Amino acid sequence: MRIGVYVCHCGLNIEAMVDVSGVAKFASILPDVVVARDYKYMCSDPGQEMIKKDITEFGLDRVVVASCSPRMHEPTFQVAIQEAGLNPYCFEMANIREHCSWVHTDKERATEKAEALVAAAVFKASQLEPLETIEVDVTPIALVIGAGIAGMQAALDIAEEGFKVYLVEKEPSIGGHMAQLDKTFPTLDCSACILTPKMVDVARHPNIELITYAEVESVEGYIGNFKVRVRKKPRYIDEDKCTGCGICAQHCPVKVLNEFDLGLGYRKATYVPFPQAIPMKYTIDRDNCIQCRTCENVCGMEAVDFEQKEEFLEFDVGAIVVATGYDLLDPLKEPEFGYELENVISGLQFERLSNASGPTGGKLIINGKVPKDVVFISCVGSREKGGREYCSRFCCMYNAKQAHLVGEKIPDANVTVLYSDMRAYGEGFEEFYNRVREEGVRYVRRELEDPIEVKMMDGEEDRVVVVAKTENGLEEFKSDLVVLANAAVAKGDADKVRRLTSVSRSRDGFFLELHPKLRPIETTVAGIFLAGCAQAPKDIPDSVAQGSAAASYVCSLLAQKRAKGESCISVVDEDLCIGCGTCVSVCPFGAMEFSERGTYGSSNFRKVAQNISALCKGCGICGSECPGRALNVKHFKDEQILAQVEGILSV
Amino acid sequence: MEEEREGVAVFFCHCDGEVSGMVNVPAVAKYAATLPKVVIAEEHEHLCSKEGIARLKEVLGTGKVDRVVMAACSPRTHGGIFLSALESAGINEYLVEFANLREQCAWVHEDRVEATEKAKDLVRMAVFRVMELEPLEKIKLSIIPSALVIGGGVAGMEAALNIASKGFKVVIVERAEEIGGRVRKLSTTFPTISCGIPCRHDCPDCEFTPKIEEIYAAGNIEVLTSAEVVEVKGRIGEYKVKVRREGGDDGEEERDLNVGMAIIATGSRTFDPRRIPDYGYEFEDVITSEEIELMYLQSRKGGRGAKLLRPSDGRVPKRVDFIQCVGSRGLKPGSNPYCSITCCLYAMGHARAIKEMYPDTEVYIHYTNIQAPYRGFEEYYKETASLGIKFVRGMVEKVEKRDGELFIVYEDEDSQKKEDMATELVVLSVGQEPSDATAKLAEMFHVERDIDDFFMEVNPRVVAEEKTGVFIAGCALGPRNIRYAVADGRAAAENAIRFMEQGFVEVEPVIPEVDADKCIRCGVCESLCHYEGIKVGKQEAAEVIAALCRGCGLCVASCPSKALQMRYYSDDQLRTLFKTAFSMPVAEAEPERG
Amino acid sequence: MTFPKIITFCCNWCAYPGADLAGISHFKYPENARIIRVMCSGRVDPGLVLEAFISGADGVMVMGCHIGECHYEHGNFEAERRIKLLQYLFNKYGLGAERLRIEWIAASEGMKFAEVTADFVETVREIGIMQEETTEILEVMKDTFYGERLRLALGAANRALSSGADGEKYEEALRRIAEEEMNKYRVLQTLRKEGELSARVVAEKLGLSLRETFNHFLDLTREGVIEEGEMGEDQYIVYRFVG
Repeated sequence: MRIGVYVCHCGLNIEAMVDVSGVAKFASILPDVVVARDYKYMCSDPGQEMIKKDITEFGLDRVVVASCSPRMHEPTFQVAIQEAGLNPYCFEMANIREHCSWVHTDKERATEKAEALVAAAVFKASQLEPLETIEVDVTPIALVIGAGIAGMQAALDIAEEGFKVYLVEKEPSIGGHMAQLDKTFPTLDCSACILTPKMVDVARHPNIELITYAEVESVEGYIGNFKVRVRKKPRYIDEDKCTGCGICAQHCPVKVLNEFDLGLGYRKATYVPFPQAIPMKYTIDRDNCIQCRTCENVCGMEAVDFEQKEEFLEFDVGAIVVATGYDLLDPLKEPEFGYELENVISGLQFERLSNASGPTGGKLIINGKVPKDVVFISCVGSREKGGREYCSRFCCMYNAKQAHLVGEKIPDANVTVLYSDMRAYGEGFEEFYNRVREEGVRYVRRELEDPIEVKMMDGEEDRVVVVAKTENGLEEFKSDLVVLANAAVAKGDADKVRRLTSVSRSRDGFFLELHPKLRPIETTVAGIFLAGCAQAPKDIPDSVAQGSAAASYVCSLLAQKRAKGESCISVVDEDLCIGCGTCVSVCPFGAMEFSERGTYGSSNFRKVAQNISALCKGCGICGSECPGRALNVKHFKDEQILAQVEGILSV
Repeated sequence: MEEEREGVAVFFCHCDGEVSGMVNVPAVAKYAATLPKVVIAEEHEHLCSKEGIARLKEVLGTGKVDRVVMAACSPRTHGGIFLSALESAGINEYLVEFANLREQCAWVHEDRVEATEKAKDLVRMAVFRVMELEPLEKIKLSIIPSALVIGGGVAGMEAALNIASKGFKVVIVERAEEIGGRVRKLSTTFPTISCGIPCRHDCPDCEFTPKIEEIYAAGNIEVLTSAEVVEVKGRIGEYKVKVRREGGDDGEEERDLNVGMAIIATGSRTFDPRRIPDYGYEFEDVITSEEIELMYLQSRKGGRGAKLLRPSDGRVPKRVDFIQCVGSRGLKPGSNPYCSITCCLYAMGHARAIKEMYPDTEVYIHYTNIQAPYRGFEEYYKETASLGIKFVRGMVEKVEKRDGELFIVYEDEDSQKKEDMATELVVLSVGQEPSDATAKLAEMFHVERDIDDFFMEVNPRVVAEEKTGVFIAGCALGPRNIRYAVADGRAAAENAIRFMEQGFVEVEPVIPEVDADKCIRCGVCESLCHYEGIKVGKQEAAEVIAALCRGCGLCVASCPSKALQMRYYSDDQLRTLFKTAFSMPVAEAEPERG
Repeated sequence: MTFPKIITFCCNWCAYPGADLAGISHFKYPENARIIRVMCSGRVDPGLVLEAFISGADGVMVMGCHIGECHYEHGNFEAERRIKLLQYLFNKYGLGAERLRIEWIAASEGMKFAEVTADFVETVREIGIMQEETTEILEVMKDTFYGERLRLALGAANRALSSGADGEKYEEALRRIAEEEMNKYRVLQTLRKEGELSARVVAEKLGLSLRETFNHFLDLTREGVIEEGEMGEDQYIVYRFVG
């Protein structure tokens, strides 16, 4: 075994706290080490060249780099040694930056720790084995989950590149939250006007197969080769026959509060969520349906089918975009904001009130009254220290937009915005904010920790008073209408999606990108990408941009036709395997199965475990559970880990 | 001239004092004359009498009125008589209203003043309603000149032969492999004439019992055996009937029949004595009356004359006990509530036959009441008793086996003793109940059933109510003797023949009218109609099928869009009644409606 | 003046002959009831029942064949469903559910006819006269029972139940729909009577919540029976009846 060790200064990042040349010197006397050097930036071109040159000159067969986290530069060095003719798995890294220099204060002890880490890496390196890189075929089809603006954008972009896309939407119509909005900030474009053409494009695109009122039930497989099962919920109306004429809803005797209008208006038990819905197909809400079957009879197309059953669709895709969006916090969970009062509404409800297709036809009338005093309260449920600590990002700006709309629709209205910090971070945002203030909207600042209370005014049932400690001291705001900017929260079914896709969630419940700065689209699962508010609250342009970005990741993967599979997978020593099946039952990915050896009925017949390499993610649970110690994950074998331990303890 | 006939005549009947005794009829008549549109208010002592009817026609002959109110008795009593009289006087029968001054007033009240006031109210209601009525014409439907007979027992055969004799085609659908019905299971042991009725009276009716050979000999009767009616569509005069028959290529074949009339003669089912364990039917020597018939039939086959031998050992029994009312009259849990009518008679017949064959055998008949009110029966009963057959009044508690011997435990009401006697053969006189097909056929043909689940007996003379063209005969109506079943078959045939000879039937025009513009095609009417009398198209408004509609008005009262109005019972016509029930109608401006 | 004024709807097959039998048997009963003959108790439109009350009846009774013995199979079921719903609303709006009764009278039950009639007359006599002021709510109820929405739910009940709907839940839905429609028509009636009013005034008058009242305003505007007017001094928009 001929090992080369390379200790990186990382400028001063490591060098300031670790005696790098001392570490190199220490390394040089470790067993099997042929050469040990230190250098300012190992990841730089000269640094990499140095390693390559040594491989040739010293005939190195293992390389150890002591620098930053392998999550940063492991692939960099693996490529470098591969270029010099070594197998990329004959490489080990000692993380002496994130795990050492950045977290310690005593240089001497830090150096000692760095030496231990290097020793561990060297000891492990001596046990490493070259591994094959597995390549898999990629099914050139994509799945986009969620047909809000981000999902629609992703689907359209992928489809435009010529790949087939399955677009699965849970609701009866595509469009997402954007379909509910009135005007968009700061341009005051009508949301529907810019959204609906896109919806039509999605519906009409020959490469997009739209599956609405459906949920993804399972995702199996791996990058390039996902098997997807989708449950299409019964609409009880035959989509092929329904013309969207609406006679069924016209006569349906059951009124239900309309979720799309957030309870401000009614729909029937037979419904489309909104007039521009796509597909324009009615759905029977069987939870509320009284089974009078009037719809069935009045439908001239015989489209109503009470016997309709859920359908399961199964298809293969190579890549997945998760664009499942967000929910809004139920404002009743923050009781001080008085949401139970009839003239306290949420921001999204304001959108419906202000929207021409909303319950009041776009007139700002709250319970029959034209509000004169309107108060907007921002950060309802957002930015709570120790709780929902994040900023919901779009509220400040829609507050400003809604404040402007009030002024536009009710010129003599007094509009106040109770805010904590104004976050006008985008293009034209600050200008819009200034414009709204100039229009006469009063912005009053309050600290989020300070008490606030919204309550009914004594003697005036149709007015409320907001009592808040503000920059001006304790103030009372009498108002006809209070609009709460309630927080954007992770989708209620986010955990289900997590279980389906294995994509991690952040502390806030949103889906976690692979790297917050550099890899904001990818996830911990290769081949699965994020778009829109499923990842974190963001406004429309950001959602669209991320949708497009996800699409470009998907397209480049699908275009490659081949993708790298996992090399560090579990391997069975059949001599040790007793065929107990423990691994089969513990494997979370279904990657272990039984295989038969010998002839059935003869004495040499037995069953042994076998790894399905395509499904194995290399977690190693099987190995640690195996009673016969017959299983090991390549690159993380028992002896390799033990060598690492030995290395650490040798210092 | 039409224009001249405009106005209301109110005829008052004193009913020979039945009405006038409690109601001051002249005062009411005087009041009636003051009501709008009333031209004639005429009293008569007895309107339904010959003189009354003549007077009615005479007055109407003056041609002053087009509408009539009969202030008399219930329309259910003399309505028909009055209506035909009025019709012959040129009054449309749907422009007539009744004020029921007798059953609903004179006979139920005690205060003459109050009753008179109420009578005025009733007359006012009738006068105002009659003005709201519209003339209607009966609806004429054609009739296919062929008949379906379901069930080929004596009733069905008799019906088929009668109809065929008039030249109409008949199809008999029989579930069994052969026609003949229960009669075929009866022995001819007893000296009756050909039919097998176990009576010793040479009843002349029996000579008319139809025979299987006659059916096959008739040219225009088609017999479908091993066959069942599975679907019925259509209406009186025009039924499309689907019959499924065993045989054919797939072991089953279907036939579609088009018939104008149907006769249901599906008979009855014999009660299964296993339902009452007390009677010990599980023992070999406990048999039913049906089985005793079979024994006679079988023993006769050898040509040696009838024999009655114990099933267990083939010995002539020394004692035989007949138990009456098995499964009938609610005597024991599991029984039907009604009397099966025929059992008393046949039990006596069997008893006498046994006594005749084996004079030493003791024969007992256990009964609670002997019920067979036929001509000559009482004499037969007395004669039977005089032959040494012992009639024991009282309930049989149980039949049981002890040490291999059969015992019958019963009570003798006459001696007031409980007896526990060994016996050699027990014969259960099992009753009858509706045959299996009854419920399904009733549903398919929309005919009613009675409290015992047999088909309902309908007076076939009430032609106005006849909307089905389906007649029932024989034991399908309830247990009866052969002679009555035969008579039923003949009566049903007569009814069917009458319709077929006429070639058409008139049905009531009291059916809903559809306002197609208002109809939303919700299908509520169709879903509620038990008779398929109203249909809603996928694109078309509801349509009333006059031939099937029974005129109940359920659809009208339920129509969500008020697109239906009932003729003769329209909302307006009913509204008028309650608006005038207690006073003159208040003239009201039509309120503005949303 | 007759008091109480009773209207009795009798079906042609059981109840009317039952009444005849009472007459034939000379069973006596009070003069107050006036019989209206219909072919089936299922013919009795709930709207007509309400109109009878509006026309001055103090009590209305519907008589049909016993359950299971309806000449038309199930007309009496429908009659019962409607009367039960009416009774529920009569109770809710303080009109006295006892003013309404449904009874099964067989053709052979002359005695029962006489007894039930006498008892009903007594019951209604105790409740007292149907006051003039009730007309308003009766009119609203009439509109409700003549409105398509409730009629659909009522008429389709049999269809729903025979295709597996839960009976109790359906009754509950019927009551809920009836109440919603009652409130809607109350709002409409108020506007019809008083001309232009705001949601606030109507809500106050009817004791409804502002939001519900305004939702009825929106519904009625969509139906075209009322229209939006000007904003009043209290910032409320007034709506007016247009018919």
